[in-house]
Amino acid sequence: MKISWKKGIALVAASATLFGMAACGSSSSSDGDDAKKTVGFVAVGPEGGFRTANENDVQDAFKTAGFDLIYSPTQNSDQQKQIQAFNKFVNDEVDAIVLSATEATGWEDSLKKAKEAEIPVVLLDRGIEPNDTDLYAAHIGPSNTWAGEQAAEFVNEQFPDGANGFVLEGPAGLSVVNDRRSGWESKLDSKQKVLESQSANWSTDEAKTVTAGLLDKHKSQNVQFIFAQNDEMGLGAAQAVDAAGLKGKVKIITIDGTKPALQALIDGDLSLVIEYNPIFGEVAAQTVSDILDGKTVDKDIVVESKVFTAEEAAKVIDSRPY
Amino acid sequence: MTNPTVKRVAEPSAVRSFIQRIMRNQLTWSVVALIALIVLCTIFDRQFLSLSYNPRTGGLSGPMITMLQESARYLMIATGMTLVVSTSGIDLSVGSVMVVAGAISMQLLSTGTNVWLSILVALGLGLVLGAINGALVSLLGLQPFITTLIMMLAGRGLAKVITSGQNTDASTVAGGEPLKWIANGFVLGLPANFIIAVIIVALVGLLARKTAMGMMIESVGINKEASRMAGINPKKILFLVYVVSGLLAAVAGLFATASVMRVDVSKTGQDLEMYAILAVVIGGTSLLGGKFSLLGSALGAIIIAMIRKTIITLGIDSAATPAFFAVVVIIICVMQAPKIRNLSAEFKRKNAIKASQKAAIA
Repeated sequence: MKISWKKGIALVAASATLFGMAACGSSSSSDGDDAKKTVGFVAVGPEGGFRTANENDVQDAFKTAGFDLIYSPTQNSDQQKQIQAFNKFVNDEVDAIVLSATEATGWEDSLKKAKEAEIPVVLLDRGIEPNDTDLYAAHIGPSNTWAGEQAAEFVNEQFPDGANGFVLEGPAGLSVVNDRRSGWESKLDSKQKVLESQSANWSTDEAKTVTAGLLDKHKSQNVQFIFAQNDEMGLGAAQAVDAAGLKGKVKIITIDGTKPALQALIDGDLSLVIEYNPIFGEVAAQTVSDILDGKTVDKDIVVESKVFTAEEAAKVIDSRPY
Repeated sequence: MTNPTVKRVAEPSAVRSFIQRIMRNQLTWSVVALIALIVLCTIFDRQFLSLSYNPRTGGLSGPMITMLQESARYLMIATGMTLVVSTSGIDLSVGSVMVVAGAISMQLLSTGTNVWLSILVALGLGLVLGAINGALVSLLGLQPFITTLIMMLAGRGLAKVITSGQNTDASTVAGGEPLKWIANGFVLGLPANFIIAVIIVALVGLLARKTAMGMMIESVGINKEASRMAGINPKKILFLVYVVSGLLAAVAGLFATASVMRVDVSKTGQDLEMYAILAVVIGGTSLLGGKFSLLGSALGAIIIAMIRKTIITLGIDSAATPAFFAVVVIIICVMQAPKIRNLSAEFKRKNAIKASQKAAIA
């Protein structure tokens, strides 16, 4: 009885292997020009309003454009999982890979492998560091540096005589954080004084705690602006400012442009929201199909974003999908 | 010649033994650490201990108040963790249970459910997740580490399913005030969530120490088989501690999300299981089980909140905050190590040996 069981299992396993190999062979041989092109999407997964909107849009756009998109999200911004997914796509010989990296560094080896396998890679949103343009076909995304610059220019405009304030940053070491900071610092007038920059980890809840702490600490300094590097932190800062009775006296600037932030802008909790436009799936799909058709594309495609004040936010809020 | 010295030693010996007893007590070092952090903050920011009445919130305001407000969630998870750890288990899922409870409450609120019902459902869900942990550990005898690790991964996934990947915001929903008050309101000038947390810790403490429950939990932690033979039902006890931990984590989740009325599916409760374990260890509960101190864990929880406050007050560079956190925790643990605590006794013993040797030579 036992032996026959084992034999049975062995038989099933063997046949499965054979069948699998046969399937493999047939799929690679039928991979002609007419077949649907397969695109691997190394993604971040649910992380917040921006990411969800962005990845849904990318997935929809590639499907509409007639690609077979394989979506592979990671968890908790784990880069290791992304690298595994990326290498798997290279081994599976997909036609192209779109990569939305959680971290800018550490991609050289994987990208070299893709280049050797002649699989074009399109970077979405986050770039790579060091920025070796030979390793990828194109980079598409809004500019973080630009967003930081807009925040600084708003502060310069609002306080021509200078003011005190502080900055809430994302987790240390991320390229988004560095780019938004460098944009901000490059345009901020020397009259403006940043009392302190602290990380609130992109989180609303932490931003509230940190802001409350900083407002206590710098009570005597007349804090007039807070630059939060994303919406989530800005919303937390707004609540701390409100609790301290400073609503309206402290200008809060955020980047991203999600619906709750625009609502807060209309309600007067925030003063300026700079969009980091997540809707570029169509551009991405077009770029990938151009690359596969052998056309030349721009290496760096900057997606245009808007700057919202309360009036402008009121116009778009109802049609905002995210 | 020798008489007066003997007399001098004999007189303050009562004081000395009292000091030694205090030095050996683990709680003392927690209190010392807490005071040291407060002093450090006060040096950097003279206003650190200042309190003022804020008519907008109807309570006191000041750095210490926001610290207590933040400590409420640590108090909750540290209390649950203490009970679990003293059965020689561990609950890695507290952070994930927090985000599940937060997610369901915000999601229900934003879809127009009554606020009290939302709170009840959130607490119920925490209870259920705790019960699943408890059932797997007690009935099936699975390893607590693995069971709760799976719940930790599954819980965050569940939270994302509940909100469909969004960070649900219920701050503008009418009728959410009671929940908002729980996390942001004040009772007699003190933060409501802190008061609630202290009452819950006290209730758990009474239940554990005024009944035989605490002893049963400890005996299960020391030897399951022996306690079964002594007439205790270890399965029931194990099940119970995970249920309590799940429920308290749900309360912590409500505190964390209601503070901003917004759940952050990837950030709420993130890494908090580690903070809970740290608080428990700082409080003097052995990770091997069999011994627990709820008061110690409560102090540990407040110390965790205080370290985070110190980071903000000192303006530690954001890249260096994890390192700073780690260094402070290590210093506290080193201070509490039995070897260090007994250092003074050791020193005295060596001196005595030297003295007797000298006497012998003379």
